[in-house]
Amino acid sequence: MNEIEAGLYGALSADTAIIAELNDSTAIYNQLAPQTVAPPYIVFGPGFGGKENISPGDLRNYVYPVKAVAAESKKVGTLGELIVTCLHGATLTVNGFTNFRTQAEGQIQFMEVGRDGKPIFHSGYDIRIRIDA
Amino acid sequence: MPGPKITLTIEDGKLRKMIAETAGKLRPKVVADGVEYGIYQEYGVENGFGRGIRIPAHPFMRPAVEAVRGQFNKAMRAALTTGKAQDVVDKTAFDVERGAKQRAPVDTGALKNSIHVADAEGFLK
Repeated sequence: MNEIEAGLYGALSADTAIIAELNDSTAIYNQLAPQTVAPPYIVFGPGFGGKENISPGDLRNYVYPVKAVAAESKKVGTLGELIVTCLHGATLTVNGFTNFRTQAEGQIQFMEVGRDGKPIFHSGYDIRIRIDA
Repeated sequence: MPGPKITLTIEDGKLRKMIAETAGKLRPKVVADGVEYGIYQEYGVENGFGRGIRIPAHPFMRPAVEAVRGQFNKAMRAALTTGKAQDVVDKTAFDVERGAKQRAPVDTGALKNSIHVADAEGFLK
């Protein structure tokens, strides 16, 4: 987990509303949830972006998809909105950098059919994180 | 002691005129894939391969859009004055297509090969 991911994890895991919906303070995962963990959970990971190289500083611009996965549509919808509430406009703690802008952009919302034939819902947002050293 | 008072007048008539002349005349494009599991690669899934295997996200479409965002904005600003906005839209669509093909995970090649540009009007029907 890099410093940005640590900052994201810190913000999400400190959000009491999110933890209350998840019923488990550890159900937040970087990139991939363990195969044995049942939804609901939140998973985030590197999407795209990197150094901007447009200034003498170390300006960086990343997008991290952050999504909730749940078996119930209502649950995932609630968690998706809580992700925005938690992260849009937040100042993340990113060691070695200053996070000067965090914003929710494109919405992630889709469903798939699980192995047992039941739907699994995904909901969240692409979170743009801009930092400078 | 009060500071100097500055009044700005923004003359946006020219910009309004350019937008009005361009609006409604552009043919929007869509860049899409043609396989049902494209979205699952983009965002990651629970039931990968139909066997309940979790697969992490492998974004290929959104990074392709992100890669052209800056040049699109710059080119479109210039095109508003030259009347070549449609050229910018078309070129950007094909740039996104190329970028998505470069980034798409290769399985059988079906996903990569299915990424294409279409006219938005026909695509939505």
